[in-house]
Amino acid sequence: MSPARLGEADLHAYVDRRLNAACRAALESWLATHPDDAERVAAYRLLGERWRAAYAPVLEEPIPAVLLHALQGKQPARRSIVRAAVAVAAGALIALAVSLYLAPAPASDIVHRAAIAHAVYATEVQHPVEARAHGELLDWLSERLHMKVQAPDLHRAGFAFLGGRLLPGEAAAAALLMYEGQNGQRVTLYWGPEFRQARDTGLVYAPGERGMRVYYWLDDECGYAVASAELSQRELLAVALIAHEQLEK
Amino acid sequence: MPGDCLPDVQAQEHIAALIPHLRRYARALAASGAAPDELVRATLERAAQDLRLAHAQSDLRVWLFSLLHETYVASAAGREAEGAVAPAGGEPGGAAFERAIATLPPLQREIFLLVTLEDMSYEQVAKTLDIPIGTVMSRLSRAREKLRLVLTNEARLRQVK
Repeated sequence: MSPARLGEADLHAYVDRRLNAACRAALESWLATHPDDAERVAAYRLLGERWRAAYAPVLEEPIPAVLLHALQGKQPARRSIVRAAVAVAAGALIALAVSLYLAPAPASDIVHRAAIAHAVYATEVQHPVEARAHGELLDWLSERLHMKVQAPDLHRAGFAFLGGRLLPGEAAAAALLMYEGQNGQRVTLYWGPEFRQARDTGLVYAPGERGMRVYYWLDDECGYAVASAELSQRELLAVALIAHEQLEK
Repeated sequence: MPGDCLPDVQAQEHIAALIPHLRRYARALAASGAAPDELVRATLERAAQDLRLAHAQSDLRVWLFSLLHETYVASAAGREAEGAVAPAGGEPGGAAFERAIATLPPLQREIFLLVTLEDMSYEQVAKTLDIPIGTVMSRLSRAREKLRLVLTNEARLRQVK
């Protein structure tokens, strides 16, 4: 095929790898005899690589709590730009503090406790949970925690309820519910009534030690923490959103 | 169907999965300018109000980015940038490419970044920004050529210094 006059749109489609094989071949034979255009293609591709490399790390950053709250419609209806900016700055600080493990005491405690409980029991093959029927177990845990303990249905995220157990907290009883995915990966939901606080926190992400990831939220009845050592932040977030939705109904 | 909150949660999950992408785009778009997360927050707030609409979208990503685009255009940063010349000289710490993208008109910036960072097809970009595909192509071409020249010049200047 003799090279046709090059269209500018084709050149960009080539840069973006969106041409079919025939057009690609035609374009490449054009470029072979037109070094100026070939140089432009190379420069445009380099631009793309530079921008992608420069902003790739953003995808790995923990999602600030204020953004999750906005998605859950938890923000006050309208705020001034200044207050919004302060909230964003505060969100960034909180995210930083949490990532440095310096979150306010109650929050970091629940993250710590949930991570330890997960590490100890999720790896247990024989007896990860109490040998009791689910209904009976939840009744018993409710009695000991002095609140209604329920097991959110996480099937939509691919996790089945295995059971749970009673745990010692700092000063009161706590509970751990365990879920298992199809490939045996485990997620735990920690219930710590002693971490309750008047103001609902919304979902907060807290990367723990040794690859452990935790999402927690505190309300006026209990502190909850979803933990996993195997799930990506995104997968764990899907689980946390479902649990949060069902427990905060 | 009203009263059924399952679709809402599902839509929330799908939107949440795209938050890192919205943040990346906003960060690159605003460069050293306005708070990028504030753009994302306002976008998510709008999405949250219309979760049922989210469920009906054939392309959730295009819908979310179009919300971000509208927020961007409506924001002070967008208006300011409309007539915009680059912030003079850029921040001392600002990278060369941040200064370079600041020289582009907002629409060219958006087209370049949607194609480059999000790897959107030209049709998706046209839908996101609600403009004809011909405009996408002509502005993409201008944006790339401008960035190429700005960065080449900057490299030359550095050599001279």
